[in-house]
Amino acid sequence: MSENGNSTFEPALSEGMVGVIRCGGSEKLADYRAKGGYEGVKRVLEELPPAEVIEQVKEACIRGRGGAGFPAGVKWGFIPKEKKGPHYVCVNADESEPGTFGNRPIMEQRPHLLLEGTIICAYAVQAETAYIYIRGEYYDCIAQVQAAIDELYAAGLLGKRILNTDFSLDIHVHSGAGAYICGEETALLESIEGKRGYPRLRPPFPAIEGLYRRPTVINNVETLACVSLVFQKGVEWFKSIGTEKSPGPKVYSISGCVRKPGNYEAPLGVTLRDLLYEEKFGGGIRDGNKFKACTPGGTSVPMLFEDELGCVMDYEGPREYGTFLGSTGIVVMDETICMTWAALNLMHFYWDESCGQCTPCREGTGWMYKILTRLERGQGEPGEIELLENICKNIAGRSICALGEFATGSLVRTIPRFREEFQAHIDGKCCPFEKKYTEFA
Amino acid sequence: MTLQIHRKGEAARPSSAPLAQRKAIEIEKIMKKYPIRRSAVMDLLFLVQEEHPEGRITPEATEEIGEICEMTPAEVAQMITFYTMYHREPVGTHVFWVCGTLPCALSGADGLFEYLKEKLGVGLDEVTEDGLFTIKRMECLGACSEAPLVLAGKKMVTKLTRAKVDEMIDRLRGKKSIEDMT
Repeated sequence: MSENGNSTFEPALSEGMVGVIRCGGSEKLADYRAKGGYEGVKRVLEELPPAEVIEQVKEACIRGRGGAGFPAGVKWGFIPKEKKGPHYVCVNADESEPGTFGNRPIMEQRPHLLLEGTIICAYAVQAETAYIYIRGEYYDCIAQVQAAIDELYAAGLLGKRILNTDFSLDIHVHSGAGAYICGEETALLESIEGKRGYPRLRPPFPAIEGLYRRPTVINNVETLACVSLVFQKGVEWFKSIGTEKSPGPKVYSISGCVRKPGNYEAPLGVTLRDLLYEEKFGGGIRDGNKFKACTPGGTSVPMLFEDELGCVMDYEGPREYGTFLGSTGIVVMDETICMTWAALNLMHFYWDESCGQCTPCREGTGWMYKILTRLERGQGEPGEIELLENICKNIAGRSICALGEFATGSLVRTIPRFREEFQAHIDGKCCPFEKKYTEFA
Repeated sequence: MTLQIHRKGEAARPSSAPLAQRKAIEIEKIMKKYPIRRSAVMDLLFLVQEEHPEGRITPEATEEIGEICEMTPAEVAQMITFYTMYHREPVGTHVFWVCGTLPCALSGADGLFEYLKEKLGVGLDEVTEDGLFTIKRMECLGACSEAPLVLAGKKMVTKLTRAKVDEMIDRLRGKKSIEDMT
């Protein structure tokens, strides 16, 4: 954290560095309240009109933690002020981006931090129902969040007339069933409505016509956890962490070829080099190997390379290199890793997870998977690398949602950087790498 | 299509009473969450799948769920085929969802797949002779720092080694719990 002077940073989202996700147990309501929990809800419900809550969230400049970095306060402000029927809040807890596992510790260890933010959000946009869409594979999260919700009903913090005010709210958990695309906000809405997770064309935007065609706010787990912190500790506290345009703490998920993979909470704006090499974070590359490439924000964004480790990891930094902060899922590859093999693995993911609505994405991911399979087996023909680049260009921006473009994330910056390595698969008719990484102890 | 599997100690078949009666309380609880009946379909599919001895959703159940959720059987079937966690074909008592995506692949997931297949003598999506196990490939399971890993039923078992896989399988074969395995 040398660059930003946040030397006194105290982790707030996870109460100390998470490191390993496995948790001994989840924080109970009484413990959470003893630390000032739900003071934010009390203050908001008793003292602040909804418009003022939105103003404060705007002032705190909480950027959407799910990947887009859109200011949460602005998003809430899009909900019509005049209420002509139900409004909804949906929490996006469908964390499925490869290499991203930062929402899990929040839901497993501090579910109330998420729920407090959800209540504040629902009050601000005058919603009476909130759904938490948790991916089906996260059985522990579903159990912990549901247990926390039950505690809230028993304590009068959910249900009719919360804390004896006029505000009533129900929160329900909706379990997903294994579809990456349901993390796309409109696909998530379709899924709650009991349909396939097919993203919707916009406009209309969810703020106008969302769940059940009613005004809806969709926020990520970590975003709402930040909302809780803002109303517990104040706007100024929040803005004292991180950078001017990207304030607040962030959970960085580090995996792959590092010595200490794990979730690490740090102020936004920490450099990639610090995250990978500092002893309190990733602790350097494993086996004493050299760093080769990493995804800065989940596998859907273009990769960063050795001379780009100075990248400042806030919402602005990665843009300078033509990539994005995304979900801050940092998957690290060292010098022993073949980039064609890595791209092939990821292409299988996008091919498998494409919902199939739009032809460029549905067919394009399949074509790229087949080409990469041929390359990796040493059966590639001259010109196929250029064909890959051509397909990338023709998918991006040509589908309803961004999944098509995400599929090209592992290639757009990687091919120009490692063209010779890709070419060697064709010239040598085999993969030039010794595959140590497939060993299983 | 029905697949003939030999099963030892097969669980008793559920009552033949229609789903809406047999699970009235659970269904009522799920329905309360939503303003429309269709929204309950995903929870109901899990409910039906979990009680089925072959861990799957039959055409009959598909129709029943359609009736309860005011959907056509085709609309229900669309859900089953879209979402990975629903099965139309039989699965073993214990499903090993193995993560094969990049962070796990960088930590030996390919080797884990091979070891599991060799140890259980089945390929992906097949059921072992004794009806106990099925290996399925899952995309990123969100526990990348503890790779390689499987979701064994509802239990995430991480940082796998051959010894740990052996122990997990031995315990499940002996009908012992794996809850304390991490």
